[in-house]
Amino acid sequence: MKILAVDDDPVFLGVLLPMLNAQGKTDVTIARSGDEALLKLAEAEEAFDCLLLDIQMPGMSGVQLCNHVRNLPAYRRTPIVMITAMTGKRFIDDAFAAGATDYITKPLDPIDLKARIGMAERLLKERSITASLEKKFDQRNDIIAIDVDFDTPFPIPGFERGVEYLALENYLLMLGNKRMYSTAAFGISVKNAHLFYKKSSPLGFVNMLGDVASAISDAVKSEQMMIAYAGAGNFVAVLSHNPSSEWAELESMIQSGIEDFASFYAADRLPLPQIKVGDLARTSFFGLFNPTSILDHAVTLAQSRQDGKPKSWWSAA
Amino acid sequence: MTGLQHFGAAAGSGANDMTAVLEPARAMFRGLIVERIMALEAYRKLVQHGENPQDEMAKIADIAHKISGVAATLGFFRTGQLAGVLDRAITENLAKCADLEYFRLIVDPMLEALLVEMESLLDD
Repeated sequence: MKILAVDDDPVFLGVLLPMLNAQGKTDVTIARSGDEALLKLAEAEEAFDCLLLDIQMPGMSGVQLCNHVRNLPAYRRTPIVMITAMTGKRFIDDAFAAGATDYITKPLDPIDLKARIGMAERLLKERSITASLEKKFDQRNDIIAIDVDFDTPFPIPGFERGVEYLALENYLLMLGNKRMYSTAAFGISVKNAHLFYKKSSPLGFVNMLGDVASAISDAVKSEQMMIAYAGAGNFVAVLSHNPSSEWAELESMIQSGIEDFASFYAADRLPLPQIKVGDLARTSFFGLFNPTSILDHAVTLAQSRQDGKPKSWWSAA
Repeated sequence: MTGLQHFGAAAGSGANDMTAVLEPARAMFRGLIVERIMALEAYRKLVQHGENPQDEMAKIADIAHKISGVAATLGFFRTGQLAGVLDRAITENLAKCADLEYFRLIVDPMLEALLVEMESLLDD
């Protein structure tokens, strides 16, 4: 695993490198600033597999660097783990919004570091499959066979507004139970996704999800929220504030966006995706729970919602 | 269990091995103590004289941030704890950092505690 570690503190790098080495990670390149990191990325003959970025650096911060890195085509899906002593919600929000896949706090705990690097390795394996999917998707060629599992979340090609489902889970885990009380989620479900999956090719299914993602992006462009594809035709959005009054119209706005593609679906004799936006899911004040369970709850609410508008946020809790 | 022993156990190697591996970082950390004390004292004076207090407090936070990021891992738990508290007091309250009263009542006592702790490390 080829790692780029970016931190302006030589002492921290002096701690991080031996810890990584002890875990068998010896192919580690270091950079002392955001500018130096971008240079190393540009000069690398073979792309790095994982980036570890300190958030607080003079000049370009780790969050700004993360944004730059995500704009590099070779690093759109590379695992990026932010490292910081800061656990405030603002820092966590900024890091994940910039495209981080995970977050680790200083001082470094070797067990935590090992777990995060292990997660990055698993992501790397999954992404080799996704990269192949994206490459084929770019070619827009139905003859090429691609394999997409219906239930498994995967990054939708071209869904710039979206984050990966795993990153969304990591974000909620970082927020922890206490801060979950001010967080809400809702699901956006393609009701006829399974029918579409059976009738269409895998590439057609991915194309359909891309159309839905595009319609979602247009409908929520003024809202601050994190959205991910959760698998099985479901999207899930997380927000830390009450949605605007237009939220109740979200379903019809997304559906209207999809209607723009109606002639293409008709030509391919495929059903037009039917959208349901679920009521807001919030964390219960009672009992122990896993912060990520709010995602499952949001998807269930979207899948089970009957016809009619979703409830207004003040009555949905 | 110290931070180094904890790491040794987690990494599946002896604590002494890990202590040896992290010794260069520990020596680097110790080697920077005097320089960092002097810098913190200098920034403190500038804040007290009202010269760009926000900028100078940000520099204090930067040093505290670097200390808090590694001290505990290298076995300097109390130093790391004090530095972390100081870092957060400044970074998470940036709007208050132009206020000298906030510095005098909240930040300065934290800074003083950190400086005393760092000076005690020089005696070890």
